[in-house]
Amino acid sequence: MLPDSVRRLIDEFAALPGIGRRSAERLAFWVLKSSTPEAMKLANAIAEVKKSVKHCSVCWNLTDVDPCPICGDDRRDAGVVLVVEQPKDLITLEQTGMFNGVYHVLLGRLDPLDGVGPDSLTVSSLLARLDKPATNARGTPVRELILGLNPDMEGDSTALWLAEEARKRGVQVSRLARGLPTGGQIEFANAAVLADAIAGRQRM
Amino acid sequence: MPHLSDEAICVRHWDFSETSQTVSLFCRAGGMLRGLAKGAKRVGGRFSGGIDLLTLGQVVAITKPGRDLATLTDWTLTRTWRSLRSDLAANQAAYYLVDLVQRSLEQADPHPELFDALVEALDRIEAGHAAEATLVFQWRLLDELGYAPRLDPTVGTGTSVHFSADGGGTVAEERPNAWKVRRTTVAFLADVMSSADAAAVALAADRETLTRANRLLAAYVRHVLGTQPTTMRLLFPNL
Ligand SMILES: [Zn+2]
Repeated sequence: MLPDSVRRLIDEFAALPGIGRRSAERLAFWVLKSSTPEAMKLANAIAEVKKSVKHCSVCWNLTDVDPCPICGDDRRDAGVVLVVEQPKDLITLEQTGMFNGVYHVLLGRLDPLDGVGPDSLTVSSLLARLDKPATNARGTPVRELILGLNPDMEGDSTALWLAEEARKRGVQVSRLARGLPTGGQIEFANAAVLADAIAGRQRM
Repeated sequence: MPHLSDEAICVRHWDFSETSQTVSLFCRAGGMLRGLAKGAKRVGGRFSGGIDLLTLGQVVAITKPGRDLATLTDWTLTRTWRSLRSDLAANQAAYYLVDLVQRSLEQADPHPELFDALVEALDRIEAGHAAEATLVFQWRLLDELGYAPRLDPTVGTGTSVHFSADGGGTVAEERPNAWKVRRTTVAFLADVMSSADAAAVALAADRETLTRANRLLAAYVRHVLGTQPTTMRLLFPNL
């Protein structure tokens, strides 16, 4: 029989993504075994992150300063906005060092079958950035929208919808290229990837 | 543990974990199948890199009696429809069709003819005829479910006809909740439904008649389903 407080801790760990009951128990027993300062470091880190990290008021990236360092960086071209689903996508793209514009994080994507419409995402603030330059990073008018959503059906549907909205506003739209991954093998690519690669072939 | 191998279209998918998916597949021989595809999203695995909505493939699964969720062991992607990813009208029409399928069919209730009708409809959407595809598929679905409306363009007098969803189609006299629809719309739909080549009749129609007929069928589908799906609202605003 476990004390209630320990059972609650196990329940909380088990609610984390990717953590099963067994792992949750292991983590809870690690906390019990640790010294109080060691365990409190974890508790404080959680409290701190919840207190100081918020969404950037321009791009919805996670940040502890507002606007975020990307939106605030005057060496970046704020006229080009790369739209992604989640902050983790932004981080992954940013790590390539290939993009010098700014971002917009939708915090999800449209899912008509689940009834997820534009109102559930940060779409209205993206459209405001297109309509009113004052709401974009450093007051810059947006010239181009790059759609960097996941290339599955929901991501593509969201991209199509956003492209239509951008076109209505006279903003140029593009989406990330798709096809064969560098270092991959044609033999192992699926039919959809190969079709994309053929359709998106590049002149040499 | 029976194995099944079937041709299937993915009509719904959910993330189960970082790498696994649960999916609803409309199988040609077996009807609706819900299954778990472990490790489906890993590149180079047995699931062609993930099972995406509105793609056609060959599925292999293990079903256990009394279990709601089958274990998928293989998915070979065989067809995709590219226009659904490049054209908003095509995309929204296709979403509506799979939404109707997943809302109206029960698990393991085979409808091979409806499966073929869905593939045909997606091909027709791909060819740039989303409205015609939607019309024919709505009709085929209603027919398959046993809800084909009665359409008699000769009832009553005047340019409009009373259509009662409760009454299952056109009616001779006005009834509470009956819709007033154009006689030409009913005559056109009756033509589509009695023709051996419904698609050819739909393709020959003018845009306005096609739109009216689509809206009438959608309103009737909404009555049959007892709800208005979001996808219907996208395709038929102000219905
Ligand atoms: Zn920002």
